[in-house]
Amino acid sequence: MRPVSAFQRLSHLAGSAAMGVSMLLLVYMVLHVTLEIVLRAGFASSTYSMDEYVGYAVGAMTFLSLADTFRQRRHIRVNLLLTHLRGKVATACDALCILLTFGITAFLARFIWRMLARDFERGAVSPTLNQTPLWLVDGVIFLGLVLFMIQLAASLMDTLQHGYTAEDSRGD
Amino acid sequence: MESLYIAFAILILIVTFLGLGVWVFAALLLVSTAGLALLIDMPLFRIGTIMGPLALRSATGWELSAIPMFVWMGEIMLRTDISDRLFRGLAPFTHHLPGRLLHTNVIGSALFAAVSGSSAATTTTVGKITIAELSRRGYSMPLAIGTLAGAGSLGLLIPPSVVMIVYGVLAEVSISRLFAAGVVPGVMLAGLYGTYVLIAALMRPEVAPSTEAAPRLRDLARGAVDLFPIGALIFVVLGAIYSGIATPSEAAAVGVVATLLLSALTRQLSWRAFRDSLRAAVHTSCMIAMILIAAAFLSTAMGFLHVPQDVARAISGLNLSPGQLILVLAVFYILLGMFLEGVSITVMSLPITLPLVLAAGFDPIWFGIFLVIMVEMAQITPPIGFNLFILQSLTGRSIMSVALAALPFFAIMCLSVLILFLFPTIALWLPTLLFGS
Repeated sequence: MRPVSAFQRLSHLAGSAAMGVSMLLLVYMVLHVTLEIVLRAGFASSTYSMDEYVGYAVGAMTFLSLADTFRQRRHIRVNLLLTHLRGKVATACDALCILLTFGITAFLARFIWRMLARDFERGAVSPTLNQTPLWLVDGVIFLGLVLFMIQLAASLMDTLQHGYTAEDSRGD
Repeated sequence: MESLYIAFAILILIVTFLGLGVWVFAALLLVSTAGLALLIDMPLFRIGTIMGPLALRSATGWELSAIPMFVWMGEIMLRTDISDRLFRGLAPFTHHLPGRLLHTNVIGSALFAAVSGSSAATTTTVGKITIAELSRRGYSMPLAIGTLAGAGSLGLLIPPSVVMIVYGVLAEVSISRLFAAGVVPGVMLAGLYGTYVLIAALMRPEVAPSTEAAPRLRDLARGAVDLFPIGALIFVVLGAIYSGIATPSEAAAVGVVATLLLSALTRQLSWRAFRDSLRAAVHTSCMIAMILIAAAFLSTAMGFLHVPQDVARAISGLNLSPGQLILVLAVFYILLGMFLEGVSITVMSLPITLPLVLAAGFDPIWFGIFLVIMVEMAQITPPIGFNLFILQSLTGRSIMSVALAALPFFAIMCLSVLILFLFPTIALWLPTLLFGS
């Protein structure tokens, strides 16, 4: 297997695995919120952690599914210009968009890493009853960004190899 | 005036990055970073130390969990026979109305909207069965497509609604009140669509040919049975919110559980349907959440650049009356809607428009409903209109012919905005009744 294909395959596998975790997180959110409602309505009690853990789950689901969502081309873009471009110009424009996205993602990841390192060093925990280690939350989001950058690199290789192809659009 | 140049420079940056084809969330992050670095010389390190924690905080807000859950609910229903049942159930009840089965598009969309927060899910679910049936029975296709384009967007106005949740979170207003405020305008808009179909069918009876025998009492009873599942879901979701058992965010989980149970009881819940609906919901939610995270940063960046305050001051200087202000905003949103989808429009415009309308004395709940109707219009305005894309793929027609079919319904939405402006009570009556003033 050529190195480029191997890299793209690796990126696909990692993105799919993270997507699987995101899907499980959505199931978890439904279960936790349902449990909270049952406890509150039926037993005048609470899990005392819904806001916190469901919030973390939303963040983790979003960032862990970022790579697969991009691979499936489900992020919104205005492709008016791209659909009117042909051949190498369209490919160059798509490659530039990927590079710009890679750049801003790397910039964000660099500062999430900074937070992760600081929270880990200081043993920072959430200001709640559960005292969740914050580096865990930072770490999952950082992992999602790294997987996304790997996917962007794989997509860039794909665009340069096969040229720009029109993609599906999807709305809310 | 320098601040207005800054606002103009931001606009140029947005048009450049979006026009180039950069994905919306990345474009917003790039615009914010470039704006802060180039326009006020903020060091990149400082920008990063603002962006990192903000991204983390925006991503982990628990109230956002309603979005993936409501989207998942719609995705499950999309994979069941609910659209088929809707059509079968409504058909006998619409037989005697001028326009006959064309009303199934409007009423079906309004009913489906009451359990789905998404206009795409509403248009697809209702359209996938009605378009083929109406075409087979010789109904006017432009009218069939138009009703679906207009009524499909009711998914955003009739609660639950993903765009309302986004607005509620950004504008810091009660989502329960927003949901309640959407009910009467949603029913009014559906009524206006229905009236248009009635008038069109009375003037040109050939748009709705009579091919079926008049329904008997037994057909009506069977229709009511077919409508039972969606009625039950509406009751469960809205009942959970307004009985106080669940907040709007929690009601999304109730809706998912009820939809899964219903699908299982009707033997339509396969492992494949479960997995595919889950995957689709995660993809859509990721797309929306990333735009929200980027928009939170854009909003902060605009604050540093003093754009909202300065634009608001400049517009205040024009001494526009409230009516003129709303007219200007309506034109602004229609233009934005030609190129952007609902969540992007909402998050990008609010930092500027919300302070303006609040200063002009408008109720934020009322403005939320106005904004949602504007976003509905965006769904059917070319060149970028997602309901148009869905209908294009369902019918195989060109985007322009679909857009032309939707044009009368765009005009009806404009009319509804005018009515809402003249009679704000239409939106504010129900939330005031339920929650007090």
